[in-house]
Amino acid sequence: MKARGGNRRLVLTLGGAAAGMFAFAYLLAPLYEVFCELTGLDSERLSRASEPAGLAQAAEIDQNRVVKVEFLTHTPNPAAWDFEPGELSIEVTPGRAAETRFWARNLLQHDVISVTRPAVRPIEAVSHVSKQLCFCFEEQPFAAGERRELPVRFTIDPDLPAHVDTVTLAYTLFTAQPG
Amino acid sequence: MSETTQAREHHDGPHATGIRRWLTTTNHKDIGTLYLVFSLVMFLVGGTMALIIRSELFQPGLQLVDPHFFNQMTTMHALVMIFGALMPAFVGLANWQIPLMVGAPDMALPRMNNWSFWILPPAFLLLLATLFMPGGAPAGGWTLYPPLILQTGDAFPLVVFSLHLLGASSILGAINIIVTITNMRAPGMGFMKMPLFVWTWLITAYLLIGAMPVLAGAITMLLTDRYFGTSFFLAAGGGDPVMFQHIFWFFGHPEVYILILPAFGIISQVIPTFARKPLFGYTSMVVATSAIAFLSYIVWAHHMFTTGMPQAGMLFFMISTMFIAVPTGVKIFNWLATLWRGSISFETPMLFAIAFVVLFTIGGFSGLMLALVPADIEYHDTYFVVAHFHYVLVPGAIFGVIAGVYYWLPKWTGHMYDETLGKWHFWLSTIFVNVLFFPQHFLGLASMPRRIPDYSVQFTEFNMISTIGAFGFGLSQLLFVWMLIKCVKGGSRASAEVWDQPQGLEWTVPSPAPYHTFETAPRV
Repeated sequence: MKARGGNRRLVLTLGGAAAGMFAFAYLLAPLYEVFCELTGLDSERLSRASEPAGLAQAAEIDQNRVVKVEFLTHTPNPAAWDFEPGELSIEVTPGRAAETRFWARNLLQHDVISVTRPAVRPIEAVSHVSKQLCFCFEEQPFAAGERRELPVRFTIDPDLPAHVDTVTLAYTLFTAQPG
Repeated sequence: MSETTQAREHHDGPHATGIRRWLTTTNHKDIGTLYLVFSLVMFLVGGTMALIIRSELFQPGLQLVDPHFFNQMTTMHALVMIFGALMPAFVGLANWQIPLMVGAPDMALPRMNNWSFWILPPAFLLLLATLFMPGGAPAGGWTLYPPLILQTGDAFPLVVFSLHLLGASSILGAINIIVTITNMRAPGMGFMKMPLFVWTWLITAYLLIGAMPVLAGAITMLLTDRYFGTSFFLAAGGGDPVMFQHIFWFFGHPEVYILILPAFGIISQVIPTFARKPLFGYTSMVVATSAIAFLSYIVWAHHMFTTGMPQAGMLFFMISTMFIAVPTGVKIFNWLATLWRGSISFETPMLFAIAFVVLFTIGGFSGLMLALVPADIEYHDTYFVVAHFHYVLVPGAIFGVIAGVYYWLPKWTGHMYDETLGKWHFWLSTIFVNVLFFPQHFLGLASMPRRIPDYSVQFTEFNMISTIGAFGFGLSQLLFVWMLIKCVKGGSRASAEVWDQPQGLEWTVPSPAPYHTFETAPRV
């Protein structure tokens, strides 16, 4: 048997490694976001206003290309909210801004605030959608029983991969956590 | 080697008797026994839960339990079997055997060893107590996916704390095993002379230290999401529930190798003894085990193909997963080559080892099918997945444990076990485990979803067969318990060698192994 000092050093190293792995679990949260940003899977940017990319070659926009954009809505709390798209799908020319609207109604007898998380599929399209206007950029207050139109203005970038002919914009509406 | 003050303190003089012996023991053999008995009790508890699940599934419709309780059973069955039955069984075998196999007088850190075991009973008290709490036990599956798991009732913090304790226990156990293997090998036993059970446990211990803290982190995040206003996994607050799956499976995939690598080690001890040949390809076994351990850290997202992932990601995780078949294939080849032209005899440990090789390979092949993205999207969350992981865990990991118990039991008790009873246990277990799990492949391919208490009528026949297999398998384990009690109480005397010229230091000490062994280090 080696000296007890050898045991102590090894125990401390291994214990330190275990503590390090615990910290690593927490590090995975920011790493996950950095990874998504680097790989263009950054759904967070869909929650911010952004200018359309690829417009430098606007002259080369293929006027004949049409992308079908579908709208999807969901709320985990259907007893509190009616939430639906104004139209199920539209046809969009890449590079040209498009507009649509959604409808939400607060079914409760008191004022509430909504928060909406956007998503885009297929995943290759995530980095090619930019939004100039969206109700998902900030929390939306609703009075008791209020029904309101929620507009969205977005652009599909012309450099959207050619094999993508349908893009789905999905929105999930939550009641904002108090505080 | 044993002439240190530490060793003398713990090994000389009479030890306490009665309950105090077990509460205060620092002896690796006592602690090994505690782990093994605890694991057997948990195996029977988890098995009872499985029988409740299979009884409800005997026919379509809801007969015995309400769906919420059914979901509690599937969740608790998994947690109890993984953390209560399998992991403590392997740690118990490690405690008994590693010091005997490397020629050490005890584990390196005997007091910590006592602590690692005695954390377990309170942890399971917390976990099992949740069954009686308002809102019931966790029912969202052992994978604890948010947001579903956050709907657990008052039991939620107890589940988290019990998993924290179980994690702490395994990490302490793993540190102890690494220190023992690194610092306490007998003179002359280099790393490449260690028995394979010791090798696989060394690698498993490193996996435990890498993986368990990540689970602890993930469940702590769940806890703060629910009670302290954080939003790691809550979409409404800007978090992402899919991130939980990434963190969970970063722990979860190494975990499945934690559950199987020690069994590989046991099989690599048993087959050479009964084939009367040295293990074929010792070095390649060590390299293959290390390769599997490394690969286990880079394949986690193959559990999540249906969450939506870029094609490059799916390809990476599919191909890296399929790579695992290569080192695993090397191991299976080596076991077969060890058998080749050996003078084989079929005592009970050998029968379980051979069944392990055959049936684990079936589980491995269905795993390979699940690795293929297009197929997996079809199989995901069906009974095919249930059939797959039960094949690798029941006739895989559990048969490994059982083979090890039969193999070393005469060394522990000093008596031969009842061979007739052992053979009956083997044949009934092996037949019924296939009756139990094989039809589940067909159910899965016909797309019966997992984790449901009711199902469409076309699935009835295979479910009935499976339930009959479950009761057959469950009741056969009572033979195992009977055999264990008989062997502890008496039986023909076992010689020091027990088997026909087995290799390894554990066979150089008398049977039963004296309370203190290798106080003077053997030379290898």
